[in-house]
Amino acid sequence: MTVTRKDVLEMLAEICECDEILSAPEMELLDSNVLDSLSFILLLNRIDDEFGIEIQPTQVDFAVFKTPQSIADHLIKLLQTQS
Amino acid sequence: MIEETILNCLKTHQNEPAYLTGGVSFAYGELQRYVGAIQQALLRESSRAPVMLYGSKEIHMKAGILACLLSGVPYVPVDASFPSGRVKEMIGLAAVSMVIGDYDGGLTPVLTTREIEEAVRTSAAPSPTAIERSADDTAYIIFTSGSTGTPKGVMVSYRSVDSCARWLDTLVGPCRCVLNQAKFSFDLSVADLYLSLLRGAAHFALREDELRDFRLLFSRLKESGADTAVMTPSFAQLLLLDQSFNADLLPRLATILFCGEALQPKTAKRLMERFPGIRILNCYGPSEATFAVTAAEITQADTALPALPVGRAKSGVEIELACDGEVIIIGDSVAKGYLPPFSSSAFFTLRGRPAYRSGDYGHMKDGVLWLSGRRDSQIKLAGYRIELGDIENNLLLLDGVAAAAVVPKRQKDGEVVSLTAFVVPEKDAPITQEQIKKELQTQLPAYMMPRLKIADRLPLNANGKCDKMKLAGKEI
Repeated sequence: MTVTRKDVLEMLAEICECDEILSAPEMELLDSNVLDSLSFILLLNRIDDEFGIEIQPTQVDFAVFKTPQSIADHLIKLLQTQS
Repeated sequence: MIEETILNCLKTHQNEPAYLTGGVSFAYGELQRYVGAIQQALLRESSRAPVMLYGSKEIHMKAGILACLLSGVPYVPVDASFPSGRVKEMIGLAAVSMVIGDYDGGLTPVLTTREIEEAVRTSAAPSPTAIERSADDTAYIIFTSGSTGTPKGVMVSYRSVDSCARWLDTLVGPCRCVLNQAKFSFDLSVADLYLSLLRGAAHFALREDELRDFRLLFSRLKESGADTAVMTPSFAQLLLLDQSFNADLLPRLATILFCGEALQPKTAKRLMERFPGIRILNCYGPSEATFAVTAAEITQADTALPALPVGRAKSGVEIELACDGEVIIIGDSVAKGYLPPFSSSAFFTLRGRPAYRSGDYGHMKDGVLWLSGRRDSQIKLAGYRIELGDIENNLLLLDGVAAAAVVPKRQKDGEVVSLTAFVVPEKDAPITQEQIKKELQTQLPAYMMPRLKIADRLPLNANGKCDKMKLAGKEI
């Protein structure tokens, strides 16, 4: 299964209800609370449902969740190593 | 009485761990010196007017609570993450005479953490003592969201505190280390605070920065060795995302006490799978009744139900249902009322005892309470209690906002996952989304910040009121 940067950004924008994510993928997600604890739960569930990847948060450097771009990069890399 | 519990605990457990946070550990003997130093400062002010405890999980917050309880001085716990506008408002509303903590936004006298540290290190701070007070005196004031946009201060008496502590002691029983998740400004924390004092247990407080970083958080959890934990269901859901949240991480964990929002059956079920034999206590109660008044021990069979019971009334409290099903709380746990300008009309006397109309709907079966919803537009988001009117009225205060409506987005099970504010800017002097966000942040805590949507107008229903059902439909 392949996933594009656009797929990930669109999923994030939908979960966080924030269109800015699409135009500014380098925006900060954590301190700004755009990705709050509830959207974090939704995000991991969606990643599992749609891409079949079960992310263990303790196995990931938390910096990965700092921007939409870093989340997309991480997911794309994970899927490449899987296939 | 809570003062005896505190003094006894400080005296008998001198060399045992009392408070652990951010990798630093304080023994009861050390905690005692902090309490003594803060009490000395409190007694210098002879007024007994409310004192604000400003900070997050630092030692002065814990010691400040104990010092105030011993001195008959009402404390107002305020988290340092709250925006300055709201903090200033709280200082005014509670007529705060002194702030303990590093607050630099006003004219109120401040006892800084540096001054406290100095007093602890240099002077021979006197041993803490209990100052006489009456059962009706205010022990603490907790601020919650008010529908008008002004924070609502709930005054809780020593009678309620004592009653709550007695109940928690029998409910939970022996413990050695109690895990704290909630901010001290959130009254869920009174449970872990009192539990640790009652048994001379260690109080292990998680800091805000640790709650976000899973690796750090899980290493702290492991380090805690906690046997008892107090948390919101939302926090448990977050922890359960990681498979390593299990009995290997916390081998002694025997009891989790939940309060603050509805605990979902699937959350309880997954916890029982990860922690075989764990005792899950599902509690219910508003700040107006000293954090909780009912508790249910959740069984395996309960987790197959569509919703969980919140259990039986604590000792000293009766629960009755009004004819429309509204939960009425009667007895020792009922608070004294609200600080002005809020009307305390929800508080009344029933058969000579204090009573409170909770606004929650429920039903009783064999003495066990089940909740079914709210009368008004108060919601819970990640355990935080929020009045939608609080956000709407703060939006309307902004220049350039003509109309605003806040709509919760719910999951199938009814749980609120986010709030969206639909804002109509003024035609002549419109305000941008960025400006709204920037200005609203100076008035509302982060957990109350809604997602923002600019709208041309708000849909109206047949009564000419904003049609929130329609807005909610638009969202999903």
